[in-house]
Amino acid sequence: MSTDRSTAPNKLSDTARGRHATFTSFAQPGLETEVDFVVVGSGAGGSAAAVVLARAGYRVAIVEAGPWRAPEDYPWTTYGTIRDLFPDWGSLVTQSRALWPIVQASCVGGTTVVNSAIVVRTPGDVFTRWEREYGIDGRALEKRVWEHQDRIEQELSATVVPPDARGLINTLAMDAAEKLGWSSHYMVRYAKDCEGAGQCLQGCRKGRKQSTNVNYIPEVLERGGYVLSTAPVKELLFDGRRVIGVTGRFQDPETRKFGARFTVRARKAVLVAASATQTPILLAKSGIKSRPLGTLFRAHPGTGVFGVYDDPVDQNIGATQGWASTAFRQDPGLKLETLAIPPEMVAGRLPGGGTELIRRFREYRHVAMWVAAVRAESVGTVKPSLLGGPVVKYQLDEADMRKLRKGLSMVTRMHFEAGAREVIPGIFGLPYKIGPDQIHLIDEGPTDPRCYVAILSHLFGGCPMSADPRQGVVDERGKVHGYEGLYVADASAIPTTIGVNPQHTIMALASVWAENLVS
Amino acid sequence: MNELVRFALTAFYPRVDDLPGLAELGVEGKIARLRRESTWLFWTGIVAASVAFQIAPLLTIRKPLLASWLSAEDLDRHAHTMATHPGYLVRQVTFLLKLVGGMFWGQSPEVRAFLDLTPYPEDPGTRRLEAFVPRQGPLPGGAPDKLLSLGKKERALGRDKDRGKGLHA
Repeated sequence: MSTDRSTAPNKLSDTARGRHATFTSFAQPGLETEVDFVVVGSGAGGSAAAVVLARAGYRVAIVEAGPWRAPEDYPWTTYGTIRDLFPDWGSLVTQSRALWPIVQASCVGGTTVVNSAIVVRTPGDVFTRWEREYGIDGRALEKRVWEHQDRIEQELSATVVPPDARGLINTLAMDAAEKLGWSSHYMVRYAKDCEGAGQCLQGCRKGRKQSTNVNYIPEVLERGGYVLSTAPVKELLFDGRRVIGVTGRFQDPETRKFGARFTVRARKAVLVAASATQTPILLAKSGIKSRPLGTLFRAHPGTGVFGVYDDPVDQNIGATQGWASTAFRQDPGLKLETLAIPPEMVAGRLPGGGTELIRRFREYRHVAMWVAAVRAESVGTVKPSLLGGPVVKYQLDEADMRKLRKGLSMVTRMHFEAGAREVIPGIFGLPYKIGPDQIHLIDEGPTDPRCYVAILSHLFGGCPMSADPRQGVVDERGKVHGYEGLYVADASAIPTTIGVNPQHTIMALASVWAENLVS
Repeated sequence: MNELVRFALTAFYPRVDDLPGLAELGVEGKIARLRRESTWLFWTGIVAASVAFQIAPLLTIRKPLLASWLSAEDLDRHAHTMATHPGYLVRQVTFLLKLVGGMFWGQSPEVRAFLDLTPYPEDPGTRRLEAFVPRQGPLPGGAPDKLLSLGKKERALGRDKDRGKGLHA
């Protein structure tokens, strides 16, 4: 294996004959280069910040731990998705009483490749809360965030799920909400002419979903920027209290062995946007001194119930997620939405094993999954493990568990309104199926998180934003307190949950902070 | 090791009537591939879960035997009881086995055919190595007939008039 110790480092342009550098072999030489701005991470925050900087004429290098997979590289199966798009085979779970999986991608484009690209503007009350609790100038930030959200909606084709792409899983939910008189909507998503292939989770092979790897990141390249993929940053480089670059080793995504070293120096600043689980770890491992680092980790944990219908629903045909209600965001603090999962995931998700599990699975075509995500107030921590990865300690408290239970009861009620004959609650201790007269079983169900098969998909905090360095890692410009040239540009800076899908907020906040650097 | 994993996975996904069991779907190759491709931690978790499955019949069906010594009927009862056991860690161990077995079983062409779905093509497993990756536009195509007819109904209900209500919470 050859490394930079045995081979003289090259300039990026020499090595790559262009602007994308990635692991190719253990014999490849090391790489050193200098740019104006280094952006660590290429998900919603990193790509949005990078494109703002690149448009302003700066030379930007995006350094991404995962590989670059274009739509033709996307997997078809869940196995392939876990292998090719998730970090460490999706093995990151909360380490508390309940082991809930944390859903994140590791690839160029980050989680925008595997999410449903749902667009919801940052609610105004979020800024009010940040102002009240974290000393942020909420009004000024709100105005600028919404301006950027206007722009991003145009650029990434934010549109309502078209009627021809919805599928029964979504239209049935609308039927139910209308009957109940609940305010709801078909989602707005960053998707151009969605045809309802039902493959958001695996990455949209049709190229309809506007993940950042098909738009902003190629634009950064076109504008003279660089992308390093399969390049996990090991640590930040310092000159006193000033951060001047990043370094690490390219990693073979198949064997996970490390190859040549890369070092990217930043003339102006380093923006870390590696996600709410990775950004605090990189800062901690690099020796950033900040008491709140790794604190105020929050999430919107969610889980769902299956409605069982007489006629086939075929949830895999139509938009993966197409319907939602945010009417309960404030009280009790929930978002309700549809979520289609492929058959192989349903097989693992249904309760039971052996012949009983297979009998239950036979109803796959007749089931629809609707979920409740909690706008939780519980907080946790993200700290580095002895091996260097993140340890996430997070657990819903009693009040949040009651919200989750309430949300499941609400989507169960919706299923019955839509004509489901039974509902599979998937809650330990409850019957496998319940009828319309048994919804109270969910209302009175357990509040022990171990009784629920939930996931964490919307993550916040770890490097929270606050005017007070004792409370926050970064200030309202995203700058790390006490350091020069170091900014955070992802969800880890968001100090609270927001009660809606966070991608639009993350992109706009990162854009605002990048714009500050331009001006 | 692979045989130990195979035994546990196939116990969770047996043949039932016309639906083939995981044992009939080339599971050996899939396990070998998983071992080759997954992380050390993930594979260790699967092996540990398979060991737990072997030694747990005393906990589930009150029989002091290894799972591989059980009759077919008891093995089936053991698998189901593990998956629905009151002990959270027992359920979590089982969840890992069900997740992996479910992937192997549920994405097989035979099970997809049962669901009226076309087989999955092979996962490409490729990535971009070139020095310049261009922007990519959408591929041609359109929604299937089933979705088009549902779309007509949606329009008839006036549900195509929403111009972005969901943008604002």
